[in-house]
Amino acid sequence: MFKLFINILIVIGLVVFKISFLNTLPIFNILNPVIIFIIFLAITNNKHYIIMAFVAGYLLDLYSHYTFGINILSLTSVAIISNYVYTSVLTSHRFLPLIFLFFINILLFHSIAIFTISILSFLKISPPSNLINLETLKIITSEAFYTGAIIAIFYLINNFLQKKFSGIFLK
Amino acid sequence: MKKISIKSKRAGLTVVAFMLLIFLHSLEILNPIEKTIFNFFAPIQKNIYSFGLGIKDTVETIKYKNNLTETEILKAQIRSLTLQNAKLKILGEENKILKKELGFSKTNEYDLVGARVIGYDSLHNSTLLILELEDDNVNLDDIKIGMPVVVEDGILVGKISNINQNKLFIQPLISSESAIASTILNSSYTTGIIEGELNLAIKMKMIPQTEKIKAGDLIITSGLEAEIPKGLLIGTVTKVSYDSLSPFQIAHITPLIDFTNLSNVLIIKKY
Repeated sequence: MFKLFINILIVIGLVVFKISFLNTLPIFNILNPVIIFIIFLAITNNKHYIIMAFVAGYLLDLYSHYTFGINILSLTSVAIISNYVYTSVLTSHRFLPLIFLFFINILLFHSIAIFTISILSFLKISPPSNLINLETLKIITSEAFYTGAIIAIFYLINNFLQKKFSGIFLK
Repeated sequence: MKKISIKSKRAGLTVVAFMLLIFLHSLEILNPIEKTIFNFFAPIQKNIYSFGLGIKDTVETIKYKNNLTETEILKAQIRSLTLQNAKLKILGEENKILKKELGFSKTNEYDLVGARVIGYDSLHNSTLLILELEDDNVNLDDIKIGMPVVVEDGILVGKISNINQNKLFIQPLISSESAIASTILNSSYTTGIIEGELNLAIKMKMIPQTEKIKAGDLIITSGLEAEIPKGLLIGTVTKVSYDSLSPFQIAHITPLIDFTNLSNVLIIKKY
């Protein structure tokens, strides 16, 4: 229960950080730490990863003018798919498959969101939107690349530290 | 087998919870909770947003160390002179009309509501800004979609695109989905629609080739939209594109404000 509470606090912090801080900074505005955190929880098989995806999606939806539920749907789908692929499909949990998983899931998150928005616009349930264009594609691909790069850096640092300090802890 | 059934149970529960949440949200039962969350985080977000802008300014100051102060002063002077110029041109035009229609008088006193930017829409391919009203006593029902949002002395930022409980969303002029009726202050006062392009620039399309437009011409709102008064400054023409195969020309417009640096804005409620 305590872990769940801590995770909820982290998600709240990340949502506020993304909406009010990261979005003001050029280059960094492309990153979404909320998706990274949810994918991380899903692939580490955290007990509450679906609840966390739900909470994060709900908070993101509160700060979006699009139809309510789009972020919940995208984030929860991505969390379930990430967990399934990482635990049941990927045989190797090494560097490249992990980076690839993050890359694909970022693309998947935006694809689900844009597809849902477009369908709702087409059905005239929500106002018309013009999200399927080259610029959107560019932004989403850049986000996937940047996220992949950041995960790669963290992975390598983590590996380096584990190798460096494992001897000390074993003694 | 057991693992799969647990997973499918979880997925089923998630779907049910999702549907229930959408249902409760559409019935507005969750409004008090959502309002409380927004009101609780708005002051924190305001400070974090200002902090973010501060960091961005510091980085830019270091980047353009020598030229920045001078450039900023010149930019401010250009803004002020452009504004005066626009006002004089509008006054000149109004004067002509007034001479024809004696007794008619018009003042530019707007009923304004102050608001603060606290962040951006959560789906980042959208440039929509989230606003929080400065005055808690202002009734949110008085604010309508389509109302113009300005800074300083009437420089247009965009218009209200969505009202969701306590939150207001502005669609800036550079947003791809933005379209505003406007006038070019050239000799024939060409009217048209300015549109945002790729969240980066503003263009006025569908201008007949016969219209004479040149770089430096001012663009103001035309007043053809019910919610938007005439004479709000938009920007200046920087380039005009001609295409011999097309009967129309395109005016490329440079806005007078930096849309990534907005903090306090004003909503024009009535004019």
